[in-house]
Amino acid sequence: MSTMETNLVENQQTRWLKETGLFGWVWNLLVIAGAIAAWNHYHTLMDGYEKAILIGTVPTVIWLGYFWPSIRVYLLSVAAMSLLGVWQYVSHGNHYNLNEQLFLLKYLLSSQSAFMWMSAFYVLATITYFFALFIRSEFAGKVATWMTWSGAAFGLTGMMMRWYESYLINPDYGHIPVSSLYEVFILFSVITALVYLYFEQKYRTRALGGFVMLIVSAAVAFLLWYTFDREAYHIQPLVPALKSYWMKLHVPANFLGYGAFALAAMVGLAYLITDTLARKNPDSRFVKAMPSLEMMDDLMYKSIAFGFAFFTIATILGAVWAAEAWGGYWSWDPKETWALIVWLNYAAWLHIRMSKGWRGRPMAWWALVGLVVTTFAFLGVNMFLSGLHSYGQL
Amino acid sequence: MTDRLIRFLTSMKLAVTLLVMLALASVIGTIVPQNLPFNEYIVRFGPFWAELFAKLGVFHVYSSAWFTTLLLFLVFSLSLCFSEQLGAFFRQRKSQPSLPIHAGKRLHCRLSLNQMSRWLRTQGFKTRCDDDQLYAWKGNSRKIGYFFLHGGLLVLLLGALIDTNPLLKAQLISGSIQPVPFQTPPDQVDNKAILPADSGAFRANINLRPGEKTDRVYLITADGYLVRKLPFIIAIDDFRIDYYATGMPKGYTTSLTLFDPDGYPLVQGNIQVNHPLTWKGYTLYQSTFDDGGSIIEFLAWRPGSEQTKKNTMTVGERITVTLGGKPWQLEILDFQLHTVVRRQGGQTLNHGPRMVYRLTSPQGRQIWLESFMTPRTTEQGRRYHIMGVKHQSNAPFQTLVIPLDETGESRFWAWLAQLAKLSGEDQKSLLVRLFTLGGFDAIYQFIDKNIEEKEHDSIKKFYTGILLHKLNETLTQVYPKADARWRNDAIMAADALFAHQIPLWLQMRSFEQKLETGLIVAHYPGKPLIWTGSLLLAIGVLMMLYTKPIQIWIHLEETSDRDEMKMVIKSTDNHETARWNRKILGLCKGPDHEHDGNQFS
Repeated sequence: MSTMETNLVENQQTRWLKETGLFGWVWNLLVIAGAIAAWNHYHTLMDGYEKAILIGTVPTVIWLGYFWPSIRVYLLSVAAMSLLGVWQYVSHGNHYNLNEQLFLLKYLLSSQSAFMWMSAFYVLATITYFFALFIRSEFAGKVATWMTWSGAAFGLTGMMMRWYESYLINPDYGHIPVSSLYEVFILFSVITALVYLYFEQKYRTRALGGFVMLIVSAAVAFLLWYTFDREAYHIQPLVPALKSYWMKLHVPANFLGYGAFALAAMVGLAYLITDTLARKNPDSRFVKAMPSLEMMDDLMYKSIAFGFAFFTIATILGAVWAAEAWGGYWSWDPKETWALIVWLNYAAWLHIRMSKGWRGRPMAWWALVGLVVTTFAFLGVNMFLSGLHSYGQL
Repeated sequence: MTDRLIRFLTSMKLAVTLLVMLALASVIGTIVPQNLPFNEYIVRFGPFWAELFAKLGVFHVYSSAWFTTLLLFLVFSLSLCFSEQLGAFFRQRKSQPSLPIHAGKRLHCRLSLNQMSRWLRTQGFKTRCDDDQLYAWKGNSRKIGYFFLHGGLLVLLLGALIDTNPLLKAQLISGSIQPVPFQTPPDQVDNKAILPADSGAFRANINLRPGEKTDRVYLITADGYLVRKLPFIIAIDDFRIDYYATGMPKGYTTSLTLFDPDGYPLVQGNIQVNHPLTWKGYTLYQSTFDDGGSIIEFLAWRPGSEQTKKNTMTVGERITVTLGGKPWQLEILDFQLHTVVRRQGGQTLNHGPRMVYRLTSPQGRQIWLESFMTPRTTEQGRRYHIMGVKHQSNAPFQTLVIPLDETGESRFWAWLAQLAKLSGEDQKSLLVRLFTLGGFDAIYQFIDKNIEEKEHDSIKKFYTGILLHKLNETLTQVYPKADARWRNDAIMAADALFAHQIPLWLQMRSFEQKLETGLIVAHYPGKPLIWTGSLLLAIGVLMMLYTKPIQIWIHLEETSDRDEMKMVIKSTDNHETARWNRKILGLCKGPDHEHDGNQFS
């Protein structure tokens, strides 16, 4: 009895140290080294807030690595690819046109190529996930997961490269690429994929991959149309209202919310399909291949809870920013109002689930409706309504 | 009765209904544009619907009575829930919640309740144990999270309420404060429309030119405006716009100084978008800008007259000019240093300095014209002056291009003067005269009116040929070196000028830009509450969603032998419930099965 107790207690106390491991410690050191290098290079160009953001990034990323070890490999790959890309530019004279001249940049690492690779990997991952689900192949599933990781890696690398390229085009133009509809769509597809990968790993829910990647593929389809039909990929200088360190916080936090809500909706879709088929034939191959209904229900809740937390924070950050840029923290601008609507919708969802204990089909339907509301807030407002947030007009 | 009412007010059903209603109500305000002048709504919806919508508050949703009522109702229900929960929380700390025994699962355990209690404590649980019952719980911070979240929301809404300035609203309703109509000059404002410097929250816009100062701002209401006094004087030292190479604005900077009412300087600073200046709870923001009376030097051309002279006018200035023997009004409306045009794919083009002016005929006909200072050059090296014309204020400008030669635009106007001199009664001269009255269209209309329909096309072709010949001939006289393309461009330009009946054309030559900065002055005393509430809200959300509260009851069955127990595990998280279930089952079965208990940790 007593030994067992001690074992269990020890287990908890040593978790942090044990799970960090050698690779983890090396990784932590690399994060710190990276931050120091960034500081040395750029601290003269940063204001106090940006320095605070850089310093704050270090513990955040180290914690993230502890919380989800796989992200370490992912972030290392992104860093390596981005540095390789930047090195290609730097070593050949550091001008933007190199993206059409150097092999590595032209076909792999310039932001535009990286985004194309991202798109290809995401679409292939979607198909492969479904393929794996239907032939029930573990191997194909692993390939799909790997493709999703690769797509996300190319997406984030592309964003890093675009960040760098914006300074190459004109030092005056340089900004973090989360300022236009084109850029946030990439952010959305990267974040949604990553949040999904986390849940997939934690709950072994590979069968859901196809459903989740469906929404990511839809984002990719929009992105491709936006790229080729509207040529929206050109890097534009920032309008004065967006020149603020708040953009670095407000926009990504918002998209963690949007991504998680989209994920929840797609799990809801999978839930509804599985539930409907299970009612007809509980032993069908499809139903057996899918995770249990309870699991999907739980995942839906977790995803919405996660999204809600970040969406709340993002909206508050937005209000703080608005107070600084527009002279009022809340102006009932269409984007703001729709953010409130999204927030109220999921607040109601969480209330019903937590207090009333609703589960299953109605909540899945509601999560799907939530996606419609979220999509309108994200895209519809830009298309149909005008207001202070009109940075991403279609 | 009160009990039932309280139960209704604190019910989850009501809370969720209110949340959803609030969401739906908010949608209306994003679909129907808010706070436009009423006439605008009549144009959009027709008088009947506009009237009805106005009564329903559709045009001012977020300040309408019913929306406010909805919000207050939510606040009321929220505070009731909050206090109920707070009471329950303190009561619950004393007594343990009863065991929902009917839902219990059978459990065989080698350990006693006390031993299990001790083990659960090592796992971070708090426990309460008596002879036949063990109650263990963890994650109480979730409850605290609840109070943070909902309390934070209440604090935030209280701050927001303060910032709507309810006192001013009440004074407006009671009539002790009365706005003056918009056309009232600022120095003739009635005392009833002047708010003192300590009268609560407001947000106002104010436009000032460098060198100007003020200690009052203007609050716009539905039917007029109010003057709000500031506890300081704003003096604008300078205003500057920086541009990107494309001509798009990069930043706006206002340098200003605040003085106290006695003229003692308090603070000096620069404000930019995203970098406001705060002084004792008052915040000054860079919001917009306007022309501040730029001085423009231009050449004025009249079709038919070869002469012109340089003139100078100020933006906003209005003068009377004699055109064709009649007094017209000329007004310079706007000046812009860079005219950036977006093209497909986000590329931009800068057309440079631009002025907009308006001509009003004695009969009241209005023509808006825009004129660019810099000629545009085509790839073949041809140069053109660009102008825009429209006959309605909200219409887009139609573009006209005037071909230039090495002397500029003077040859084109000389040619127009030449045309005006043709006074013969021959067919060619008559055609030219008709042309100067309305372009080719005037000739076509003449033919449509006076000639049989079946001959229209052939006659039109015939007359056009004659006219073009004459026009080309006169052009060659004025400008012998002109090529066919230049002559064609000139004819097209003349056609457009005559068709639009433009009596005066201003060609900008130079300018001296003067600007006016647009500031927002805001005073929100509820701000600290808003931020405190937001912080509590954010912490509360994280605590509520990321602490996994778990309650475990284990009950000894009195009827059966001492081994027989029933267990209930309650958690919001299915995964967590399953995890503790397995752990406890593993613990009960003994060391051999320890893995069962551990593998999910």
